[in-house]
Amino acid sequence: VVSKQIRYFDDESSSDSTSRAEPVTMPTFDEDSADSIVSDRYVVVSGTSEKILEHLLNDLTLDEDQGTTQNTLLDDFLLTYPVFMSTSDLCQALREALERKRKVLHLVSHWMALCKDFLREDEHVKLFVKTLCRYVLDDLYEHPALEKDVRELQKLYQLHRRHTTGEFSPQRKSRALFHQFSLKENGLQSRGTHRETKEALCHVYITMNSYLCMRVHARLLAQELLQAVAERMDVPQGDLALVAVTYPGGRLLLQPKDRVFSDSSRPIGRLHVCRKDLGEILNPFIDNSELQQRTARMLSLNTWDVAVALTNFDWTIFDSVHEQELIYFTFSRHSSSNHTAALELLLQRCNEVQLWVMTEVLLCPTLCKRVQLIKKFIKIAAHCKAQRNLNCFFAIIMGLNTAAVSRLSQTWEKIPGKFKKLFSELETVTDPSLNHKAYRESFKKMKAPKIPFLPLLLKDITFIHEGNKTFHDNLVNFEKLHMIADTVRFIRQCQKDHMEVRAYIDYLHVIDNQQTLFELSHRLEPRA
Amino acid sequence: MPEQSNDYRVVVFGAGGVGKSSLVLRFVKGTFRDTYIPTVEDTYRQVISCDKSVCTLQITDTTGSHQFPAMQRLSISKGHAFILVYSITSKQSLEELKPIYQQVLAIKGNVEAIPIMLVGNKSDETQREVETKDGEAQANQWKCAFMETSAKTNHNVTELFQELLNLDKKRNMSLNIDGKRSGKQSRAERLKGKCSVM
Repeated sequence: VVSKQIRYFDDESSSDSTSRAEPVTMPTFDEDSADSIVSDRYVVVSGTSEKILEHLLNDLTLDEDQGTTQNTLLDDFLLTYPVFMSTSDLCQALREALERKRKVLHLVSHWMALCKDFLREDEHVKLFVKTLCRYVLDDLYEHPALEKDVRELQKLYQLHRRHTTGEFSPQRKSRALFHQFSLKENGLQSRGTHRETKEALCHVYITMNSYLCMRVHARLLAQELLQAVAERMDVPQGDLALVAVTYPGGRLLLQPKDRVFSDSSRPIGRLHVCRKDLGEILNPFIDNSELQQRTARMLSLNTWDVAVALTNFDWTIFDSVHEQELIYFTFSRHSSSNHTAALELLLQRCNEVQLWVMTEVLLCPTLCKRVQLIKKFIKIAAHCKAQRNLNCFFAIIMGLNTAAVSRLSQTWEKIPGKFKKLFSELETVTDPSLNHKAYRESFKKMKAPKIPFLPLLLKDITFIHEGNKTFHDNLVNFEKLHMIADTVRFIRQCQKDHMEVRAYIDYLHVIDNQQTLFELSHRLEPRA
Repeated sequence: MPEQSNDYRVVVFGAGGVGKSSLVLRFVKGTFRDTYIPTVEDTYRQVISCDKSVCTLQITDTTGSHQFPAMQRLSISKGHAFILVYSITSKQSLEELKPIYQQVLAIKGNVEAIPIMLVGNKSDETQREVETKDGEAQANQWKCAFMETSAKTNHNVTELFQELLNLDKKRNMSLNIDGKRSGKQSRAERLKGKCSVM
């Protein structure tokens, strides 16, 4: 029986692109036949979604240490399935495959580990996990061996119900128990709180074309926002009023106890803070003393501290960026799904840092202070790079590079040669020639954890998406999906070990007995 | 990175969503290969003929996040020719080119000798917001060339790059490396109605 629903290429020859012209069509496999041998040598190239799922289930071994090929395929599939089938389709397909409960169970646990809280709110998944759980519980009496799986599933199900996350990713399983344990604790805590309070970046317009970007929680009240603005802008809170512009011409004065965000976490309208007499707080073209104070505040900050704060901020967002967000962002750019929240925050942040650099420099009226500011920003950029936060690094360099700032030749002339040299070195990293070769090479050399320049990652995925077909004659082009999965997995590699250091630092193992320490010392290097 | 002296750099600018990547991809894929692997730098390069010799055409597609087109001083200062893309379905996208043009002007100083092409992409779309004559008028004001393209239907894409090369008066360039460059006259006829060079 030859099926044309799934195609393979010989792995050995697949590195040679010319041999790809001749697809090899393989027979469909019966359960537990020769397929495991085949899977080591062949790479799935295309197939219908049902067949690929079937193949995955066929090939799935219940061992902990599976072949890497198999793991990659499973990973590819679970990461990219939204491209060719909906989550409810996947649940349906798995439901139909339930006669192979154990394998389905195994696949689901991988899926849950991979997608973590990403699937939490999906009703189809919720229902399916419930069904699966019931099935396995039914069998528990006859097959006590299932207990481990049932516990796993219940844990998942609990996880599901309690709206918290855990760390079950397969890569982490092998690590030392101590690490795993503490990692889990930390992961739970930071992610949990992040999710519960639902943060948002909120734009509060101070003038027609300038805004404060504030990190706030979604249940924010108007008075809290006013207080924060008053503190930041150094204006008495009593003088201020918060207005939401709901549509052109429509204005809504928010009362102190009003919520700033609607239920969908979107602000009610464009938010403006003005004086109660409707006058503007700040005029960027007149208010001189105010502006000097602003520059002085910025200049008083330590550049390393600023870089640390910027990087910590980015990490809290980047940590919760999920691989699949990149896929949703590229494939459904225009539909406003909630699936890309963290990614969009980080992109927005990249733009804002760029605008911040420009704003600070251009609001500084005195030449020598402007020189100081630019020097500060160059240093901050260098520190961001040292802290391996390339997203922020790019934003700062691009901000300094915009025409409005780079045309200030009198200012740049006064920058010391040492700084000019540093700047041009940093600028070289952002050079887009040869498809950002300079950046790609230096980023590759950096150790994880690190934050990539995200817009480039999105561009790569866009190009893979637009440059390759998703379907070949109704078969899913798995080569394309593999390329996409590879690109998004990059996120995982960058995030790797981020919590590790903290987990290690949080639980220091020490010997508190001076005698023992001395004995150890002598054992290492005996007294002469 | 060693500077390659015989590189000819074309820089593509445009707001998010105007189809920059599709346009570049159309050109790159049309002339290169079937499977596109974006991290390979070579896919952005093509050998072209230049002054009876060969040089490499390098396309720089500037990358920013979608809401805010990042413009890099470096790409402008190193660029030889520029493509400014807007979508005919969005007046806003044409507006967003204005600061970019200003930027090129500010960094290059005098743009008269520099090949710049204003491109109205998505000419296949029916929801037009920018009329052809509006694009022409803008190009006139900027003293640059103008063309409407469709990356989707592959309309005028190769022509765009060839025409851009023709604009460079300092060099004599062609996408064809066999040296048999069709005469300017016949090409102008072929492009009639598709392109206007100011």
